[in-house]
Amino acid sequence: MDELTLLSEFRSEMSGPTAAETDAARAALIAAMAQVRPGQPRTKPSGRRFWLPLAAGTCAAAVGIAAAAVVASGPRPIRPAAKPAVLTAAIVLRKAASAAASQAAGHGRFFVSESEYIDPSNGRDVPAQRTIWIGNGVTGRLLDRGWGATGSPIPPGLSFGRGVITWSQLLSLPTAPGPLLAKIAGASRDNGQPLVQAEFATIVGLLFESPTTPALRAALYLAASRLPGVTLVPAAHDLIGRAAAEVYVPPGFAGNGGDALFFDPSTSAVLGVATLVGSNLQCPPAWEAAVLAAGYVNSTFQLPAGAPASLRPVTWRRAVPGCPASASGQPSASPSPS
Amino acid sequence: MSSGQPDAELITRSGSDPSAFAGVFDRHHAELYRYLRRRVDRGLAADLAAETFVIAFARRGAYSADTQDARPWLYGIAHNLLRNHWRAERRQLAAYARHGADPLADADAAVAFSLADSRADAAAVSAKLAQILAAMADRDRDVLLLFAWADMSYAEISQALAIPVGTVRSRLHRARRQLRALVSADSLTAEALTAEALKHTETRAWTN
Repeated sequence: MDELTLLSEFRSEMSGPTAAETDAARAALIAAMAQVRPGQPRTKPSGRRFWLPLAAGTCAAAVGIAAAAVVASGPRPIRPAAKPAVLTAAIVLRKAASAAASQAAGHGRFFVSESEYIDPSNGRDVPAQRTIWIGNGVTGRLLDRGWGATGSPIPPGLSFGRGVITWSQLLSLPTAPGPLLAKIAGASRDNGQPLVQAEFATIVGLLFESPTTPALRAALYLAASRLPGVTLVPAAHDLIGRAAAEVYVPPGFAGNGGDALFFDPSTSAVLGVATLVGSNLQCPPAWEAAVLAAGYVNSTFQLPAGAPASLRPVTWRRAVPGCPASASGQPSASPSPS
Repeated sequence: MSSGQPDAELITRSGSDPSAFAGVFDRHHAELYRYLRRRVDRGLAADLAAETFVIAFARRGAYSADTQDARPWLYGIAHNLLRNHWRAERRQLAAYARHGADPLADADAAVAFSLADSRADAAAVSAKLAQILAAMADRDRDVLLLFAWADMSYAEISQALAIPVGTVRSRLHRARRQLRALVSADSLTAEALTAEALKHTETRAWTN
């Protein structure tokens, strides 16, 4: 048997696409075709959630694969796009994973994250500042000006699905996306949400205010990219107006909101998180936070590099008719002095 | 119906009738997916295959109507996408070589594979093949796998990867020589081969 015959048998047992995978690929192509259908008026984005009516229509089966603009006009029947921009949630999540995988690990006794948040569902509709020091085997500290926690000591512990894990347990999580996703699924069952939303929420919880290693961060982004239905919100911005990749898992028919993650695909940095309300994505989230700075320090009085001296002005969506009362709060025009 | 029409005709027609491009999808998607699936995990293969056709559709205006078969063009797009995942591919091949279990295998396929006595020989050398594929230069591996798995000619590979035919020939020659040497290297231990493959993999991972 020669080397090419052996090679031709290598992985020859791999199966072809499933019907769902074929359907998803076809739906992505059909969505691209729809952009250039002759005579069809082009839809111009009018806001952050402009894509929702489209997504609810013919593209619903695309399972998170959305096609971006394709330009075809002019005297010839076809004009290729100069630079096709085809982005899906899976692509940007994998890009973030790739960025994370090439980074060096940080070190310190504490991981500190400073963020700014709005919490209208709890009546806190002005921006507040929160700084959390998470200790590696030691007590940390929480300074939350919105909740009045002025340097409260906190025990070691990080959110993990329904429970809490320690820093060292976090570092012992698998860094291969498959086994990691299995762990995440185990920790996410029976939390009251559909499993995929719960898994996504667990991933968000592990990424936000958390001392993930680059390998774990990469695995978390890859795990998120594998969740069925994970969706990218085009042209999104975080709470303080930074351009961000925003991904979330659309709610099912139950209409429960889920979590959204804002991140920078080129650096893998988490920029913020939000808790969505119901199925109307035009409604302001119930809660939203933007990470101002994060990093490793050796005392609970040190701040991470790049921590700003004051809060940033926030960009908050206006509620539209029909939004739940808990989501209709509007923040002040400028941040509150802390 | 698109069954009898060459790819070039469908692609040209899709300029005025975008739906004609669906015929290209129906003809090539499953095969392209299967090729990608042998190189990366299931989720990524599905994404890359889907993305390939979306990009191909966007670029159909640049397609040369002289080329009847769209496979080289489609595989070329797929390889441009796959390039971002070379490192992951090497790691998975190295893991296969190290543990003897294919990280890309589906659970059901792995069971079926282990029960198939007739393929025991192939299973026995799979780890060695994974070693040499992991250690091989990425560009050489692309040429080799297009030749062996996509059944492409030198000219088609040249077109897909946008390289001269002479370069295809030299890369394929080098890749086959490495493969041949490994398959016949009975005197070398699996551990030594694994260490060698991993050394190459690690070196490239830090220099990418």
